[in-house]
Amino acid sequence: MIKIKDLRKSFGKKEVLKGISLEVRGEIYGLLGPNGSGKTTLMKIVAGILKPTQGEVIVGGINVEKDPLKTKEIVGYVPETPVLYESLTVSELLNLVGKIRGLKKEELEKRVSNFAKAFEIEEFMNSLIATLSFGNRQKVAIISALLHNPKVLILDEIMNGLDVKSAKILRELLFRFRSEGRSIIFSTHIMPFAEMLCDRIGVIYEGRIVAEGKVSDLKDLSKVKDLEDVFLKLTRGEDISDLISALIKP
Amino acid sequence: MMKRNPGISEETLLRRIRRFSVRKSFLMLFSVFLFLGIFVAYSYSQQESMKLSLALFLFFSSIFMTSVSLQQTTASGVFEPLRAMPIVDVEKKISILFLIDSLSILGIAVPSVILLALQSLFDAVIFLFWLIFAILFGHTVGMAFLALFGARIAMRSKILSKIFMAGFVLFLTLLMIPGFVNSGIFGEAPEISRKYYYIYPFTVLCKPEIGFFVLLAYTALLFPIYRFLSKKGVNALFDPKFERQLQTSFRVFRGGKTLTLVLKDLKLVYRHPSGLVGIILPFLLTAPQIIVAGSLGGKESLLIQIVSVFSLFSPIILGLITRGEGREIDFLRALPVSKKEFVLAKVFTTSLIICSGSVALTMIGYFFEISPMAFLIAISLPMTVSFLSALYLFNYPGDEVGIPEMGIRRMATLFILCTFLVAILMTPIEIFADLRGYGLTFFLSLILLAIIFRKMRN
Repeated sequence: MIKIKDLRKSFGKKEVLKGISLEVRGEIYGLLGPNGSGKTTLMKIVAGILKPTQGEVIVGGINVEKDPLKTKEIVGYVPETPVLYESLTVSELLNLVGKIRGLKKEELEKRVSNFAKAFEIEEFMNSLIATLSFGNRQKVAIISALLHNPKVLILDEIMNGLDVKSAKILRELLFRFRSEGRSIIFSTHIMPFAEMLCDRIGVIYEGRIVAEGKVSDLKDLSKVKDLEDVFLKLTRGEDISDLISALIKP
Repeated sequence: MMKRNPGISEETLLRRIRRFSVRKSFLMLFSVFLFLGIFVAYSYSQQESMKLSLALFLFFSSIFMTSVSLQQTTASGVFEPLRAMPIVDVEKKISILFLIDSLSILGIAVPSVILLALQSLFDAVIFLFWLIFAILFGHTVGMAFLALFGARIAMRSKILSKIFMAGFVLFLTLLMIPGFVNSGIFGEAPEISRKYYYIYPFTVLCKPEIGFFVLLAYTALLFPIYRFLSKKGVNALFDPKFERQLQTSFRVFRGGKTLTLVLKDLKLVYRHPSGLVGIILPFLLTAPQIIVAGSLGGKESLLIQIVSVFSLFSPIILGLITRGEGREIDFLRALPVSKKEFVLAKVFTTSLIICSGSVALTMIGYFFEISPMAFLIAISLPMTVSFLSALYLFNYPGDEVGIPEMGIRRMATLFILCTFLVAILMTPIEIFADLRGYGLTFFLSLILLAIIFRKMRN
């Protein structure tokens, strides 16, 4: 379970998160928001990577600020743009992750081999990360985050660059995790994915959650048919026709 | 634009980049070198020896600053936004930025040049131009190095890359030979220098009237090469080439968390040739001194002093390994790695590298009848300096894994601290000059090491 209470984060004078409170209980929670709205900052705080300026975050019963290491042990985090060790091979990187996460030799071998087979990266196991395509790097980042069978998943734009088969495998995997009662925070800009995957959605705008609920509830509330329109309405982006006209005019 | 790069999320790194000023950094570095230069100016009795040493020092420092700093700064991602911008000759501009940075080492030569000017102003001016040339030459060699293999992330399975690397080290070693010659190892230094006055660095010993024309010829030759290589070198950093290895199956390595981190650090250094230069250069600069001292019948205390001075490279190597993380530290921050484990891995990697160099130097010294007890010092002393450096550098608030502040002020303070430590630990050897001295120094090192290690664990 993830419990966030009155969370604030400032970088210098700029307040990026302005009092966010939410709860995720054994479900897939979609976090939607325009660029710069605070999604990534929020996810990094939940993953124990950034410290909050104010507020409380409890992940799996652990206070993230007080015990970020314990939090990281139960969390799997995939960042929006994974920065992996370019000069290590895939095999070396997964070894590093497995060892740090304290996996036993047999367990690590078995899990890596299963993931590599599912995401079709077996042939790249001894290639340097730097030589991999964007999609394959994304797969390595996902495997790194799932290797220790985490109780909580924080996934920032995870579908970026994935091929159809891998995206389907990942989707099914997330559904399976949900059925086991694991909590997942999932951010995306692709509305159909959000509709398909998420049990509940939170729309974040200028550091605040401006709406939260099931997709159907949000549609009813905004009196529109599409999630995209809900999103645009809530983030004051609905009047785009004038902007497009202005772009086309010489 | 570089200061507002959204691609970097590490808060400390961002703060540092935003605070950074080229002018302030240059002035700070120049002042530190100027201060050191005062001691250098008074340490040479022979003018020829001073000229040759400074010409070589500036040349090597410039290679180091170019190949290591440029690669590390590029790896941090600050130049990324520039790539997409329509800026003409962006590579040349980046190269010049680092050349300006390298010019700060000129400070170390200024006091010597002033002393020279008191005797002959013309000679001093020509020598100053030779020193600027040395920096440009070193920068160009650094660029050549980057263009050839600097940005190539290599799996060292290919023999070819090893040959290239060995060739480069050999080239650097050859350039150091004049240093031995001048040290009087053959006893005919002035004659040899005069005979080969047209070969750099002997060129700095030319009469100023001839030297002026030789300098013009060298500059005319170097400038187009620099223009060509600066573009190639920076381009190699932006678009690195890779060497691939044959595919094999997944294999789990042995060892715990710290050992895994140490192996990772070693691989990062080993697979980046510029990282290799950073760890080989200190050895390359020190080994000749021990050979020269031994050949000239230097006393055992002198040889062990050289080994002890080598341990002062620990902070530099620690800095190199720590900076080697670059943006990739974000990956590590998502894993359950404590600051303690991270720092211990860094200090073990540093100790492994510096102690290997130190033991190798002692082995050279062993041929000149250095005591076998010196091997104990060769391990304990650099290890203690490495631990002290880590304790000082990573003494930042919080338990986060991160890259500490390593500005010139902090590094200079650390260097002074390490010098004091080495001086104190070496005192028993200086006093007793026998087994008692070695034993006491070793014992003192162990006690200090235990104290620092305990402090680091808490």
